[in-house]
Amino acid sequence: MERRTVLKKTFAYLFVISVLVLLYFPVYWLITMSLKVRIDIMSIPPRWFFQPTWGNFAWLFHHYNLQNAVVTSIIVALSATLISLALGIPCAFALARFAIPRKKDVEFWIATTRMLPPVSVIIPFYFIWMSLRLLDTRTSLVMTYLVINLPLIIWIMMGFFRALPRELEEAARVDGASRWSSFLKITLPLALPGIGASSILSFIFNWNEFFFAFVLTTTNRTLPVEVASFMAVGLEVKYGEMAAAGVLASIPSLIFAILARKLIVTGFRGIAGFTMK
Amino acid sequence: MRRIMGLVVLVVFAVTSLVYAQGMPYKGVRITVALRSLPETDFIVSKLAEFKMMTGINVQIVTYPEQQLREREVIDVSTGAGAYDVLAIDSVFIPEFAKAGWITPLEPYLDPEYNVEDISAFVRGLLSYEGKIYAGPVYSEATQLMYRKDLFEEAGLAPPQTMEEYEEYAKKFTRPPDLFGVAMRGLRGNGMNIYIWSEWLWSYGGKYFDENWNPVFNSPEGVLATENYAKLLQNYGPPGVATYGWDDVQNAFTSGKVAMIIDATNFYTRIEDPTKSAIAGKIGYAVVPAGPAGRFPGNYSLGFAISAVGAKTEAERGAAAEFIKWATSQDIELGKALQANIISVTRDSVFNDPAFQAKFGGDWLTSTVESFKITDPGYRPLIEEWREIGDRLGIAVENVIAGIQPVQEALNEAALYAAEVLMRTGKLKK
Amino acid sequence: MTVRQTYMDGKRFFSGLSENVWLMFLPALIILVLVTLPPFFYTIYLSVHDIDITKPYLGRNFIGLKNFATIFSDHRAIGSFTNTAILIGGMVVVEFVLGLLLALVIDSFFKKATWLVTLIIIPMTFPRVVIGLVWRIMLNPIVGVVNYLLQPVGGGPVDWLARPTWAMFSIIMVDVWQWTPFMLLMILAGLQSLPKEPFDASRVDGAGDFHVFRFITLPLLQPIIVVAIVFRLIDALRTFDIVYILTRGGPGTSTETVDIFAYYMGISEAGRISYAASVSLIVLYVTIILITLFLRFSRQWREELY
Repeated sequence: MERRTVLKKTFAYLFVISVLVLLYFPVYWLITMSLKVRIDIMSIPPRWFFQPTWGNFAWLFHHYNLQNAVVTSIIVALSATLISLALGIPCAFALARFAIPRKKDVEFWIATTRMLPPVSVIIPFYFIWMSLRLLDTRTSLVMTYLVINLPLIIWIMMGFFRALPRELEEAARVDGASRWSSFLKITLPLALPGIGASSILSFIFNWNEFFFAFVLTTTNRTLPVEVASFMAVGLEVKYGEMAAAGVLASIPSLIFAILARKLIVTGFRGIAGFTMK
Repeated sequence: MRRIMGLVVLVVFAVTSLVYAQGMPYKGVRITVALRSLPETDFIVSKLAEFKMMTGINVQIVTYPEQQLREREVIDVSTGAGAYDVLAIDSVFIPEFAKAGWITPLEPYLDPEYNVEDISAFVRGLLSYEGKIYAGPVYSEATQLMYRKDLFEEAGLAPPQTMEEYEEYAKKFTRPPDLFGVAMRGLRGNGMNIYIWSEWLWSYGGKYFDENWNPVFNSPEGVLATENYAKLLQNYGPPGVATYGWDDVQNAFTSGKVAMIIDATNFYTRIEDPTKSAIAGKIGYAVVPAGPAGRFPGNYSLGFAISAVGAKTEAERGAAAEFIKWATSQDIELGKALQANIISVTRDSVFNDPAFQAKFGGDWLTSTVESFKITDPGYRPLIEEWREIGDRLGIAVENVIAGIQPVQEALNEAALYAAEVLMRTGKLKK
Repeated sequence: MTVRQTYMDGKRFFSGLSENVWLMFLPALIILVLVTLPPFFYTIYLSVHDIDITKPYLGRNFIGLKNFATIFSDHRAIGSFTNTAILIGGMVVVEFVLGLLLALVIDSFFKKATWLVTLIIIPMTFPRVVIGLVWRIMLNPIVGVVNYLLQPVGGGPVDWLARPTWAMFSIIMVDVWQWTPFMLLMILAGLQSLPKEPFDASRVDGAGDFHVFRFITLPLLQPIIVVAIVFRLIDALRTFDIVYILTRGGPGTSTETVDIFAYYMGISEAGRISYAASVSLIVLYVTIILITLFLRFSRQWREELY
């Protein structure tokens, strides 16, 4: 028995280590690429040891208005997340707690909005934002991202609220609190992990979104769109510069994920908790 | 009505008074230019301050990558958004934009000083539609053969003159995994594999359409051409060549793993740059090899055109024309070459300039000048349906190279599609 | 009247007492309606017309359902549906199996190592565009590092992105690389919120590992598995950027997904926006039907497990 446990443990370690290696090799490659000159990037056998250079990063700041893209990305991703939270959480609460006519249909319809194929709605979106004179604005991007975020947040939070005991709210209501205040003071704090998890997920979606941002903006471009534009600059693909931009673009959601790792885990546990009830 | 008349009078008065006052008829006009970032356009952007000083026109630049530029422009003009006054357009799409009424002819705005005759003849052909010139060239290229001089000398060979020799040498130099005979574009697209493949089509005596617009690239000649093109890449090309774009061709060549490539004349500056290329100084240049029907170097140009959707007022159109004339003028062209080592020459006078010849002499220059001379603007058909047809054909050719579909079947399918497209637009009668 | 009754009585909503509830509920709904319905109806409008945005001179003709009929005789369109099915199927199945395995291992051997989970979910946060570009370079058959590393193991140079099957495999691989952590996160969360009692009981009975997994863990875990899979399914349907950057649908059309196909048809390759709209409407309907079916099937599955 003892030997079997050791064996199992060894396998488990090997498995996890190989998963980590496979997961992090591309990350390592991205980072080293951002520090290599072109001829080193293109050489086989790969140059494992090379003279690192900041040239790629320097080029980015000289040639591109990358700061603008960073600012746009941050503003758009944050405000889309926050607005979706502000709208989505009460909606989820209402759906979870109160008898709303045709509730099942409404819930399902909300889920289907997330299934709209982006390619089919992109031209209509373009027309709509154009006629509202909102084309190429951060506002139009934020509004567009609501479609991606709201269903996600509503669905996650709905489950969360359903899992929370109602007794506390009811007690508060008996004490004369209004629905809003019992919601804000009692329910919301309990649902914090779920809010954390869903806000992080939607932030990551917003931050990384490419297709809508690419089509709907010309001057207010987001970071992924800028990064993709390195695919062909001039008559060469600027791999090093692209990698440098990629590294920069990955940092914010990375920091977000590290800071909020506890929330993510407990949040997901919450999601799991309700689904399995 | 009266108010409008008043307004017109006011505007006319304002404009004329400006003309007389400062000799800057478009002072204060704002125009937006959509372009793709190239060394050529970067150079123009770096000189914008001079342009503003001369004309008083404010220019805003919006940059897109190669594949996305056209899509963005199409969305912009077709929805009527009109965010751009000047559009950078690939030569093959000039007919599409002109036919749809999205760009206006440049001709009325040209003056003797611009010396339009100096623009290489094939480039003028490329940028015209129904006899009218629609754009000023920022960039132009032909295709040529680039080969490893060191390897050829070692083997005692001269650059291939015929398609047979090209294949023979390709075979000779193929010793995987260290060296492959050839690399050419396999990736689908009217500007990717079809750009190079068309040379094979013409060289083997094939053509795109007959006189009634029936697609005939699936004729026996077309099949033979495609078979040969695919065979070269399958047998003597590096792995993955079926999806090679120009960047992959360039990378494979500069990594020293390929003996010969046929691609754009403008590869020169990158493949001869020692920080980017492992084979700098070891490259020879020659006109593309001849097939049974002759030599057919490909060609391409990027032009600036006035957006009919974006430039709504006469002032905007005038300012846009001023910008185009300045950005594609003789001075700028020569400056690009001499100051920034840009060699996508669009004007004969630059080729003839002694300073230019001193700087970029050798077999690159002779081969490029010769290719420019013999290349035909109709290398890729200059029709408004080209993109759909060319892209569908690109899929067929890539399918053949990747071994997914037999030649005849693939070309037939593309021809069927092309016929359908031409029927929709009424070129081909049912 | 008790509070509970207020909660339950739907009629109260219309009696003015519960405008608070409406206030909670409606803003999100109104926004969703405003942002999704106009494009949706516009798409329907497009789909029953014959509009080519690059050929305004051809006009806008109403053609009824002809676009939909065309789809079924268009090899390329059908192919794009099949490709999408293969890709999504491949991605979700592999991600699920790997995620489950990883979750089980972590749950039994690395329970305290929260840093491990953090480490594993980080790749999920990288922009997909960046991921696509890095892999594209690594998978380059001659200058890419993957083929180089496979050499000593006996792998000849593989044409990762230029052979139909390999290209499909590569896309699935890259997606698995990025999204397995999501599956792991969901399943692990599920595992960690399972009740203890059934496990203790089975331990006393001396059941083997597999037995415990099959008859206790899996049935308890089933609902979260279903949710995780539905999440991934919906998301995998929009795998536009990875495909666009890795293969652009090639070689030929062998990795062309419906999204890529609609994009080529409507914007990039041709201007046949009407045709593209009809294709994407079919996607929408098929998605909704499939997900409904899947949810129904999963309920059955759950009953079988017990």
